[in-house]
Amino acid sequence: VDIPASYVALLHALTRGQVQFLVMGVAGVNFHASLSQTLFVTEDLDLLLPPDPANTVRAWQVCESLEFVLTSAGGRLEEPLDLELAERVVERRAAVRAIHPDGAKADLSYLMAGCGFAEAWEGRKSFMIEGAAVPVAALGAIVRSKRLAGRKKDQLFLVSHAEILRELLGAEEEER
Amino acid sequence: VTTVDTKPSIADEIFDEELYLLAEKAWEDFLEHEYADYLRLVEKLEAHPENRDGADKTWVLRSQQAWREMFRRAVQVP
Repeated sequence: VDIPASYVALLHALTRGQVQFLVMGVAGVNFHASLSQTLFVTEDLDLLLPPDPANTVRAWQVCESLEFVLTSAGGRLEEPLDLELAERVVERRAAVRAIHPDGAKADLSYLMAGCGFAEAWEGRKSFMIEGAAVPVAALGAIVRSKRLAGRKKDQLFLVSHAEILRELLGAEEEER
Repeated sequence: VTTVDTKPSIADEIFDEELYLLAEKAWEDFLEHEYADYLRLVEKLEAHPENRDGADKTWVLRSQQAWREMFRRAVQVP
């Protein structure tokens, strides 16, 4: 099965384009999955950015070069996508969603509950995706942020994930 | 003219107060009795050889795409 080219292209282009980012959210959890483990369905890719306007502009440029449309608060992000706009977006910690015509969606965010970017970056993992090293937030940091976020869907996710890990790793522990 | 949708959402209808309280209780129980062990398993998974730095995780995206394709190709049986 082919992976949607836009996801791979986005991850590769962000790393090539000197954009600092971390994969977080359910996608980040899935990248920590074991081969024999259930994956969670997610329709988007959550990316954590540092609160750096210049880095943000580079991220936007990469998205646009790959035909992603940038939106925020339900509307298209206003042009020009320059440093001035990036400063406003970073100041407000506003989330920006990048949507590709093939349906791929990436959320560019500055917030991870309970963890600043620098701390998350320090604890990151680097996984290979189609030959490119992609930085992923540590599983523990993602889990703790979901607990702090406290939304019903996060609570449901954590309970389900705990059950999966018990089945996977609990069985390993019993075998010893 | 402004219209307001007063019909409750499906979530509101399903997630009534009783169910909401049950979910709250289940979450509190999880935090009290299972969360610490869950974090231990999370640490264990992070340290797993499959999660070493540089591990190839292309299969994760491939698996998710296979799942999406399966549902995209689904047809309704008359």
